[in-house]
Amino acid sequence: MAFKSKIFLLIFLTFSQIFFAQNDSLHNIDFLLENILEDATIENEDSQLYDIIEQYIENPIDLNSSDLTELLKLPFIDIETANQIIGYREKNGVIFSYSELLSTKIPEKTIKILQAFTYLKKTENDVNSSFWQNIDIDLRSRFSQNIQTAEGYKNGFYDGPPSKIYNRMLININETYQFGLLTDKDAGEKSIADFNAYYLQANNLINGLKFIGGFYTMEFGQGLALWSPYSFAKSSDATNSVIKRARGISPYASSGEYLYLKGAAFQYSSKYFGFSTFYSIDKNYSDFRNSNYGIIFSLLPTDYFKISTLFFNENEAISQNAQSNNLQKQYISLNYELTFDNLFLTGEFATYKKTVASINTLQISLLRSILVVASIRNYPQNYQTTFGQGFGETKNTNNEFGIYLGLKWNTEIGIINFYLDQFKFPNSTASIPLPNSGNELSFSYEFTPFPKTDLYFRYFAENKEILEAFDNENIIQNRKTEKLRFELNYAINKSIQLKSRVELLYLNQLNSLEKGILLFEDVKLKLDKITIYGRIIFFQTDSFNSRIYEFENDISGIMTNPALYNSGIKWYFLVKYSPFKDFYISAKYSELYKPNETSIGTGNNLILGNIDNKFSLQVDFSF
Amino acid sequence: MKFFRIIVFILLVFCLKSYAQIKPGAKQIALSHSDVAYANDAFAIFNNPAGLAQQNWREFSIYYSPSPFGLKQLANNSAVYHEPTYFGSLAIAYSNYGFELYKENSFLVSYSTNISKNIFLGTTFAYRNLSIKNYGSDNTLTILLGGIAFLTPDFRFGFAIDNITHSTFGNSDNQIPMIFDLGLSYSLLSKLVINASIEKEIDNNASLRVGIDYEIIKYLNLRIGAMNEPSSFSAGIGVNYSLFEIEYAVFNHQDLGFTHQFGITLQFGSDKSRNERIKDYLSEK
Repeated sequence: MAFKSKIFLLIFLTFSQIFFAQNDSLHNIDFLLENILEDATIENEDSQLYDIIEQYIENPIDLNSSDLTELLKLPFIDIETANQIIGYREKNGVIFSYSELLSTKIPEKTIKILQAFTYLKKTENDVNSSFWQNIDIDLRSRFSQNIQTAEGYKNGFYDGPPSKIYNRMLININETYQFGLLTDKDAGEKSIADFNAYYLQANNLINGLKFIGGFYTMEFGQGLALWSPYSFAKSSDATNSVIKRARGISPYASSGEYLYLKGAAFQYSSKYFGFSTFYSIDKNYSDFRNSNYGIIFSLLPTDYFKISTLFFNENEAISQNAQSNNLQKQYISLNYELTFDNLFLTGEFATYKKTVASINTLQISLLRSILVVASIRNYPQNYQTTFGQGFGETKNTNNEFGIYLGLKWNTEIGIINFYLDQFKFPNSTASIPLPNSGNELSFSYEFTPFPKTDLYFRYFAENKEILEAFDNENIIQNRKTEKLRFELNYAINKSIQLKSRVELLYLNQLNSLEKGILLFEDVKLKLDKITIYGRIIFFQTDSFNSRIYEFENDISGIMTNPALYNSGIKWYFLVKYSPFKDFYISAKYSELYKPNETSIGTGNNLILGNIDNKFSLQVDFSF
Repeated sequence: MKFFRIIVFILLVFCLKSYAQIKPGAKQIALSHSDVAYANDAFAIFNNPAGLAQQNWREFSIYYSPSPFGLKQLANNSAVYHEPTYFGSLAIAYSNYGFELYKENSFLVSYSTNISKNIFLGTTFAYRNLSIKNYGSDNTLTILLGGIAFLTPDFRFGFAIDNITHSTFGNSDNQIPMIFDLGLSYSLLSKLVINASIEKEIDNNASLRVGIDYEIIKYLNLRIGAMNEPSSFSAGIGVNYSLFEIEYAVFNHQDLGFTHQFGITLQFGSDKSRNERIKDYLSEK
């Protein structure tokens, strides 16, 4: 331990001498992330999405030289947007400023996303030839804790302190070598490095060859056989959440302790040909060992067609009572991508034990303002996957057949998003011992009635079969969930922004009708060096079933999307302060107050009383 | 027996948590309290203090509700004084409610200001005293925070959060409700204003309110309003002449019948209507 800390100190002292050479990325991230993440997380408490968006922001692509397929790899960029960019470049040559794109049909929101994920011209700092001046180091330390003591600490279930501590260091040398290290301690864990992850990435070792050692993730095709923990679920953006954008191998720097690979991976890509191979071995617990390896070949015979195959072998060894069980899973998968004019067609066929899971998606742009997506998926009951995260109603990529139809219409008077998803579980599921089905519909409309004022409306309806007790018998019944959201965004001036929301929820079941409501007022004050966010939320629902999710701003690196239920209020303050360049302090304090309750939470996380406070503090430093 | 009836009645009123109805202001009541984004008189101090900063004139106003739901014991009255200054608007108010057995007194101080061209923020500090005969009394401080933004010169948006610190009386929780209000207000014509708002009390169902304020002829305003939780209709008349404004408002409660209230205002602005004065003031900025 002492040795480790000495190394740390040494590294720190060595590098602290190097002068600032990095552009100011953190501010931009926060500014853009809110919208992106909120759209992507309607009913998702998964906090990993932040990391993937951050990775896209940290590794932007060149907007002026990227071709159609490269642009389509970016999340939220559809065939229409990609074609618009290429059309604009062909007509006008180089894009010098993002504001130029306002003259195209690309919506302003999408331009902001492009601003985050692409660059126009490398800044002078980035092309500095000296090796030592091209080292960037990012440090992040985060501490958070609930103020009230949960039951688990009183009864001895948790043996560590209730604080959550996260530390991360990223080193980037010459854009070629990247090194990352993170340690994470969850509430109740003892060691400050209860979970740790590290990686070393080398880009362009030889032309087009990339290597990662340590912790990494691998994404292939549409994610039926192999994917990372990050995946976008259905969202109000009707035309983009269906298509997955595989990134190949990427370093893993999240604190989520699942679905990563640990070992080594190589990836080679050239204009017509691609090849990757990876090996991973991990001992998750003392009695569980898992080793995986895989190979990927890709062929790009023309500019608009790409075909790839994956061979993936998964091996799980579980030793119990001196007996060891080996479970081997083998997958062969085929992925294709066709981009032609205004059409983008992609799909994957994955085989496991003679069963084939498949998804095929077509994205087509009509009249330059309407984008239509149609997708069909079929995941048989016998198709089992650990790393797969195919698009669907559930994340299991198993026992599901579904058809999705989405439409995005960019009209003169606002943007309309609509989708309808029908799904069927042909066999019994975990919750219902019979085949069952359902559908989901979403309609959203956003428009700008006056300058600086955005109005947003969303209607969402879901029909799903559930098991319900009736006359002492469990019967399958349809449950209809309807949600209505109205939102008003008003930018008073450059520094103050207001946001108000009213959200209603209706839950129709055989025996009951439940209702829920959530209202909030949000103020954002952005000054020169300091940004302050404040929000107060009033909510009331009939029970946990009619809970309403509410996406919150949080300190960089955290995504908060809590489900609020019963009656109460919640408020928070978030301050982000940058006293000097490349140094940020952020702090958040929140309170949940439920007047009618004597306790909040359940089990070992139960808190006595009706107030739950949380405090977090983070320091970000780059040099 | 009568005493017993009164106690039962007070308990009933409290169970219904009709606090919001007891909030003063004859105009506010006539509009069923839908005016969180409108708030253009001195009684804004009770509902949304941000509204005070849009009024650049001195004002003194009193309000009296002699017998809510036909019960003299629930009588309440209030007075407000508003003074605009170059650094923001200041206002003070007093209100009392109840009778010798149960009495609530409140002293309010408010500050509101125009933080940018078209946005107003305000806060009211209310020092409240509750005394129940033979049980003693308690004091507490509550804070009301509000904002109004002019999205266009005719379209307003407002919000208010009352008792933001969730202060309470005595040892039990949630005796004074926390209330959240969100509303829009639109001047359809220069003399016709439509208001809509939603109010959520921490522990009660959300209440939708609408109200229309119409200057039918010079000197005379007609007002109507409605809300759904509790289900109630309201109406009112305002007569304005020179410095004086006399207001009358009535609302009904489904189970408890009609309640009448009155207000008199002394305003030291110009001869123009309130909306015109506010519009002039904003366009000067």
